[in-house]
Amino acid sequence: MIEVVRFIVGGLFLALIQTLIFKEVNIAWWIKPMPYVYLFLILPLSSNRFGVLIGAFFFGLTIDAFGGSLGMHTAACVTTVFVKNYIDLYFLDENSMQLQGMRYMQIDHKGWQWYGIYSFAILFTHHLVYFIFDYFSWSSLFTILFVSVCSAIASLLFIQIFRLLLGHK
Amino acid sequence: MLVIFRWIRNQAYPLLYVLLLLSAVTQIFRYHFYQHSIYFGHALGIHRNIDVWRSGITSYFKLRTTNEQLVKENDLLRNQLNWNLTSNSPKGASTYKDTFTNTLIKYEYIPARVIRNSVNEQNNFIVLDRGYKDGIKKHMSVICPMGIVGVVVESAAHYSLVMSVLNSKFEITPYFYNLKISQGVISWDGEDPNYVELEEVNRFVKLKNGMKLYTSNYSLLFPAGIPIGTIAKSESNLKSNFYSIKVKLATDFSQLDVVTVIKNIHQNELDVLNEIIPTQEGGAND
Repeated sequence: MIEVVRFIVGGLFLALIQTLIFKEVNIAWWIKPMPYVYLFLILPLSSNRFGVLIGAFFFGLTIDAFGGSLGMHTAACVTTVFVKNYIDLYFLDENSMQLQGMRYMQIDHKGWQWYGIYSFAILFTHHLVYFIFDYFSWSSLFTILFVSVCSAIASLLFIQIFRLLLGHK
Repeated sequence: MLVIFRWIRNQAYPLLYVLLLLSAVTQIFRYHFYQHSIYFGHALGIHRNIDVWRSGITSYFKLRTTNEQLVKENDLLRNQLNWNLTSNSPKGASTYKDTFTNTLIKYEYIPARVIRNSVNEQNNFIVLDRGYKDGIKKHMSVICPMGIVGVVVESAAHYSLVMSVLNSKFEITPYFYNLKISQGVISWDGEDPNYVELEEVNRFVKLKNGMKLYTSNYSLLFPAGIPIGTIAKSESNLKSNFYSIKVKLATDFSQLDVVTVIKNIHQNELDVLNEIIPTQEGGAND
């Protein structure tokens, strides 16, 4: 229960940072970092997937409500959590991780490179969905891919800064 | 039913995802003007295409009804044309009042459908699906929206036989619209079903290709002003006083479907008078 409250508080904190800082700071037109996806990266491996899906919906809704972008972050969050199940299956050996006593995804498990690719896959999924709805045009397909890749890399960098600041492994 | 419930239970997670995603997408389309306009623009475009496609199919099936309605409308309009109106009527003569315009008229129109037609014979005939029970009698003229078709030569109870313009026995005097004269005799030479011969036109008349020919008011069978065709070719030589003219028929006889049989209200009187006039051998129709 305490863990759920921690996640809610952490989610609200990330939502505020997203809408108050990252939404307002204009780095470049092709870089729009959304490091709040970090919340999905640190989800416990044994989380109830229905609960996580509904949680992601409300988390996205909160960011949308703060930022005035109704529906965009919600769609991206819900899709990210849904796709994350398949990404986890591909990247993580949950049984082995639980045997090692890992309840969360940790860099120590397979190193920086593995963590980077795994995080990028989730971030890219989220950003791609977001920018698809943001641009909403077939003619902007390559722009969407380009902005998604650049923004996912930027988000990954900011997430590393978070990790260092919060002392997460 | 049980299978459906079991499937829903098994697919609950993807279904929940789809439900939540749809909810988010609905918000996007509702609250974002750009996405809203694009989505509804596409949706309207698709809807319009479906409408056009559906309309094309339904209108195709309605063609027959539409055609019949148009024929009726044409008949109604013909009744209002000047040449069909008669301001006074001789005492005791039969008169007919159009119920729509409340005017005295000279002609009645009976729509009919062509059920048999030929264009390749020397003497072509057309069979209509209406007979004397529908008011069709011998010597009534037959027209179609394109122009003249022929003359009724026999009528059974439910069918009528029409002598086509493409019949060597058929003859008619045309009215030259540009010259305001009626002259010559049109007949078919039995060759091309799109062309007829026009003879006995004085070679001093100034003719031009493309001149339009209509039925004249000298005709005892056809009302004046029905299209016959246009002059396609005219030749004159010094040995003869007459032109040799080819006329392109207005009516495409290979496409005949719905026609109108014209009943002259005073046809009986005209027939009596016509019998007094000595006729040429071969049974001229005009």
